Amino acid sequence: MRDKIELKTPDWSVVLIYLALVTFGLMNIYSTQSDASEIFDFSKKHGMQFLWAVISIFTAIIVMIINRRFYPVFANHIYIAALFLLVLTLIAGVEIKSSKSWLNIGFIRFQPSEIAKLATALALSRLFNLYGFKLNSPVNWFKTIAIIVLPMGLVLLQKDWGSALVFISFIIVLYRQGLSGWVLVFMVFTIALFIFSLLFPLIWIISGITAITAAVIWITYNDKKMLIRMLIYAAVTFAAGIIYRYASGSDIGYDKFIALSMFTAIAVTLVSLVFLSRKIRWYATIFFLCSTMLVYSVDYVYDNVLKPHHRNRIEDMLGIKEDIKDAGYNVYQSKVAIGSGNFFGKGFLHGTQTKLNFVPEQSTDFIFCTVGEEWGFVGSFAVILLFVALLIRLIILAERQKVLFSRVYGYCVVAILFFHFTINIAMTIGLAPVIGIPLPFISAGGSSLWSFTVLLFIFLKLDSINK
Amino acid sequence: MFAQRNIIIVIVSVAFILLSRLFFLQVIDESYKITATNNAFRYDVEYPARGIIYDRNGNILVENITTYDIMITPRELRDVDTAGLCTVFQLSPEEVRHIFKGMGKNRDYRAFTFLKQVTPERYALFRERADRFHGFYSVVRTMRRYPRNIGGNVLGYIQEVDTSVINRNPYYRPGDYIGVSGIEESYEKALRGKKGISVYLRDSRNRIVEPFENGRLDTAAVPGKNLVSSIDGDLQEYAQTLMQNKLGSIVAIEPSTGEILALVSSPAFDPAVLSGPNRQHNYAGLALNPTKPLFNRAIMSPQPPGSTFKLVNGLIGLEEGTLTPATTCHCAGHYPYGRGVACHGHISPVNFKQSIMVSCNAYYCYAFRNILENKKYSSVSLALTAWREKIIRFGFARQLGIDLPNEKAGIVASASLYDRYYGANKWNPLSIISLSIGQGEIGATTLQLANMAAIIANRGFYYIPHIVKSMGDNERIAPQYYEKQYAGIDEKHFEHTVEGMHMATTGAGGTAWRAQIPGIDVCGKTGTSQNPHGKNHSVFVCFAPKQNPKIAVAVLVENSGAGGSYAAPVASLVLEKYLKGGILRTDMEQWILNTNLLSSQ
Repeated sequence: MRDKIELKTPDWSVVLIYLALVTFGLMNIYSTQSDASEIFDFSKKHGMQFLWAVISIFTAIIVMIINRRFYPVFANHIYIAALFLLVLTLIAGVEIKSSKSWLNIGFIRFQPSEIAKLATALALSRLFNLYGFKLNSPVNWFKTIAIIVLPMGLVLLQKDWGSALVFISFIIVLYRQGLSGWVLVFMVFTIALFIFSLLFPLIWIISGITAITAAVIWITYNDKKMLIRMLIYAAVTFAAGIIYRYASGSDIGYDKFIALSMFTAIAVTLVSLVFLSRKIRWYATIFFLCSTMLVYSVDYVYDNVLKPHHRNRIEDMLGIKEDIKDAGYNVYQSKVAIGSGNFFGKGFLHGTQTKLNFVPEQSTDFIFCTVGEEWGFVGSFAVILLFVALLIRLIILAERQKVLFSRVYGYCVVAILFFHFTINIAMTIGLAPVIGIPLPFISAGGSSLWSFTVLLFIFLKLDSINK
Repeated sequence: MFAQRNIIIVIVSVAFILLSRLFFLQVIDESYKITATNNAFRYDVEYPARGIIYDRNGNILVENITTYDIMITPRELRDVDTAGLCTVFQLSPEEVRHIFKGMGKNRDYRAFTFLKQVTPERYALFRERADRFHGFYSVVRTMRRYPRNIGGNVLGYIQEVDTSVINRNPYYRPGDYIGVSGIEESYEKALRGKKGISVYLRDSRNRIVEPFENGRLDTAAVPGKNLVSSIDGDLQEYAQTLMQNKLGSIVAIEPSTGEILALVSSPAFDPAVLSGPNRQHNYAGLALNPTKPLFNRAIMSPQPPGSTFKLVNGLIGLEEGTLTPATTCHCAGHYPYGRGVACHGHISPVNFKQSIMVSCNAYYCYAFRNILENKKYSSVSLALTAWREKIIRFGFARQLGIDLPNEKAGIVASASLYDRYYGANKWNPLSIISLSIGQGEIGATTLQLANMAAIIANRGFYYIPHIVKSMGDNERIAPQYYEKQYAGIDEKHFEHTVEGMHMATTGAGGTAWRAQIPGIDVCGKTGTSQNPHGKNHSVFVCFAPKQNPKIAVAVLVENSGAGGSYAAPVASLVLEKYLKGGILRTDMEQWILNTNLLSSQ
């Protein structure tokens, strides 16, 4: 390799999608400014966004010029610098909407958490690129988790929940690098259990868990006597419960006895099997105990760990509490705006809801409302299609990388963009709690656009060697 | 490659979920579209001024004044100056805190009412210091104002509409006002006018962006019509004063038109207390008051008319021919048949006119029995039915149709009622003889008694009593109020009754001597209304002058004794005030004014 300026071209399909999204974003931001007349008015959001788009593209060109070996070599330096910025933010940051996540540098204001995502992606890629690194030893596990959790924790300290949650998306990268799919299933199951516990009576959840465990035991240990024994345990417990009910004169519901009987049957069966069985029974036992404990801890976590505004958002999303005035106001107005777009939309600049400030944060976190209102289902479909195309193209590009660093980094880009894209759109249509993260390339916000651009173009640079 | 495939599957499934939801929201579900139109348009309502009510002499009874509702935009609140608010609006810090508590979690641009109906003086103070109250603004409201404390029950009051009204009548929106009693209720439609609407495009901060399509859909507000009441403000005020510390009612009618000159229900209430910011508190006080000031006794409280009813029985007897002006009767102090009816000491024998003058019970027992045993009718039952029809024509046992809400019909017993009570054919004239002297199964409102006096004053006809003369620019009210109604008694019979009534105030032994006014020929009839609520009600009907009567009055003073005692002097003072403009009999006036019948109960 010679140390000369490499002028390889990037993957043009990705660049085209990128330019399409940025342009579409600019149009929609312009549309949210109801009194906008001058396109290049830099006192307005769309003007600033245009300026930042130019800066971003210029930066992208610089990224393409810089030697691609710069990134693996300086990955850790960038990571440490990012951590430093996060700490600095905690000390000297500006608090906006109860999150202390902004830094003022002269005329610009930016969120170090955006740089932290990029830096973590680089550091994670470098770690996996180390010779012989595999996700099999506890030390390697520890290093991996530390790289992700360190910046995530600092962002959490800034009370910027949305940005902190983005770091969870790196699990996709770990999955690609050999993490068992069961861990993902477990995570999804935990979240589902948490939500179900809030929505349904405890007795149903416990019965469900018991039924799943019983099914697992039944399938893996195909013994008819086992089933009969389980039924007998259940019947005895149920009978005991009924006797107790009449003896004590209490009015405990029958559903409680049914759940208790099932619980006892499974528990006794599991205990009797522990000593004679294969691995799966251990998993069944662990699953059963963990799920039960989780279900019982949900109330505690919900009431003591989560803040009231988090609870409101979750309750609103789950439909436990329909409140179009307080927590649900944003989402309600957002849904109204998107819903009023119909199939073809009201047309560019003809939205009333987003133009007239009904939707809060309409140019940033809720920019998708303008898309939905003015461009209708057609526009929404186009944006989602562009993102899906971008993500799949990035995965294809990542898979063709010969250098592990590049592949891991590619998946990091996919993970971050996927998380932002999904959660952002889902929260505008009431499918996810409002956690306030931007829609990549489209939402107004200079530092956000700039850091997504750099994130993407570093990968394009890394990929360009493969052309 | 396995992991890669799974990741792509997840991405595509998530995209599919998002698209399905979007398809549902944007294409299928209609509810969000409807909300969007309501959201973006602002319908600015222009409230028309409510009509003013004048009395018959052009003096204002009710007018409008401007007040201000102080509103808050919670999102724009900065450093609330509690001390400043306390001084400006004369509130205690606790009250201010309490109001803010009511705001709850509202922290956005939706308006919150801080204080209602602030006076212009307070508002001026608020405006002076407006820079200190960031996030506060004001909305103009008009309020009713009453230059004189008269006619609470006549005028009624207005209040904010409740949900039942809004559900019944789509014209009203939350925050609108509606008349709920008196003229305010019965003439609501004329008084309220018509709201105007301006449609604007607005944003979520309620900031108006521009008129929608240059005001194509806008409609102008139509101001409410002014009303001229037939009430004579001075007379009403004087009559109310006479009734102070007494329970009862007065109705004064101009016989030639049916216009009501004064309508008093005592105790009265000051309409102003139901208009200000303390309305709710004051209303509760009035509603819980055991003397029921909100209850319009003049039209809602039927009582036995007592001897005043003899006038009607006498006229019916003359009309039927069962009685002649020359018919005389010996009265030995009682009517001796049946269970007997007591009378009082007076000259005997009496003829028709004298029977009115001295109010002889026995005379009317004979007269009533003759009506019921008239050979014209095959049975007593049919005779009673015929009699009752004449009574109804005279304005009893039915609503007269006054233009005030909640008028009571009163009762006059029918044959079927006695059939039910005694059994068919098991009753005879003696069973029901008390009807002859206006006692028993009979109840009439003071308004009906005043109307009876007006019929006699007119010698046989009346106009439906009404309290509003005209609306707007001399516009007539409902047509029935201008139609002559006949009472079904020949004009010639009335002269004898009128003469008897005149003698009652002037003749020796006349029961209504207290009603005599020097220089005016007063015709009157006393009544003593026996009732289950304690002492007899004192009742008096009269009109004056005897020829071309200008005013007919009925007075009922609850639980005060015989008709001549209090009702007669009160009625005659009302007559004197109206006909002469002032009072010469100051002793009597002082005596009535100083009488407190409330403390003795």
